[in-house]
Amino acid sequence: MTRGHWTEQQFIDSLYGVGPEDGHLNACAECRARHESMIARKRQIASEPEIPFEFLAAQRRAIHRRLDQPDRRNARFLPVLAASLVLVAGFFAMKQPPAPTPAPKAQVSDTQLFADIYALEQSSEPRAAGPVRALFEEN
Amino acid sequence: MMGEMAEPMAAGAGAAALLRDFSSWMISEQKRVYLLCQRMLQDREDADSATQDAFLKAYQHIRRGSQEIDDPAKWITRIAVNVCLDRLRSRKWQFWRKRPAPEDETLIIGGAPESRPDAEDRIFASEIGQRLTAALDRLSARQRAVFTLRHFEDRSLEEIGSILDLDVGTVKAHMFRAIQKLREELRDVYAYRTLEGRKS
Repeated sequence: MTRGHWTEQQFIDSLYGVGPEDGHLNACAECRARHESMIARKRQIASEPEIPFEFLAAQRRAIHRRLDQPDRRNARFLPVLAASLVLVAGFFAMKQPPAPTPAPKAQVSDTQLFADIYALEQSSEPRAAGPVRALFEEN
Repeated sequence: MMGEMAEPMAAGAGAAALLRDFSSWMISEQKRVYLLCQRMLQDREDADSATQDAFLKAYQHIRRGSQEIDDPAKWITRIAVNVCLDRLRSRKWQFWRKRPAPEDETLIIGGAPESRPDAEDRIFASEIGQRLTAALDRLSARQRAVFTLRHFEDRSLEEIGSILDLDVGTVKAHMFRAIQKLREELRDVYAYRTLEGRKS
């Protein structure tokens, strides 16, 4: 049993269900009266405010609209899924070995090309015979 | 057309009955659920969206008919609280989020001023109520849920535990911490001298 009257904090704790359970309110008329007035005060503070009818009606209309729509609970994951796919595709694209670069071709000038073609055309001997003939030539 | 006079559905109503009378049941619970969301989220638009989500989830659950609903009022409260908790958790990442507009906070507790003799008391109570509601920001999501269900819905700790799927000891611990954080505001709410001082 609490000696004397309850403290303000004990009253507040009691209002919220975590106060002392010492039976003091049964024994002390003054604290009981104070407790009851605090309960009335709490009801006054916590009383329901007016919500405009139009607001509630609009809210119900919105709910009914959403009830009529197909269940799209999984639709919210679509952007995430798409982004994930792009990332995975990008990852694999980065991992592909680079394509072999073609060896650079020898640069041949137009003048050189025309000179070679002209020389081939002017020669009666096949080009492949040149090295064979060189074997029999005297230095 | 949905009438405003719909009675709350009796506890123990089956899912089939709930689905049939979904609209009238929604009307009977809508304001309470919206206020609960408003008090937890402290943002009118967010509370509006959360209320819609809660009823949508309820409807989808009923349509699936996967589970018998014993107490529809407690059940929709649980859904709404969980929707709000999810939103409060996701707010941690929304550091750019603004404070609620003052008119939103006013809507939470405020009512039209009356011309009765106790109108001044009511306005004063409304001011204190707004301070208390604004102070809920200091609470964690769970503490806020526990405090809101007790303060505004006057639910027992056992009911709160059942709604939040927590044991009573844990609910008490959350409530203790919530009261400690709101100590100053609660003291002003219940202080005799403050109200008497204004009257004299």
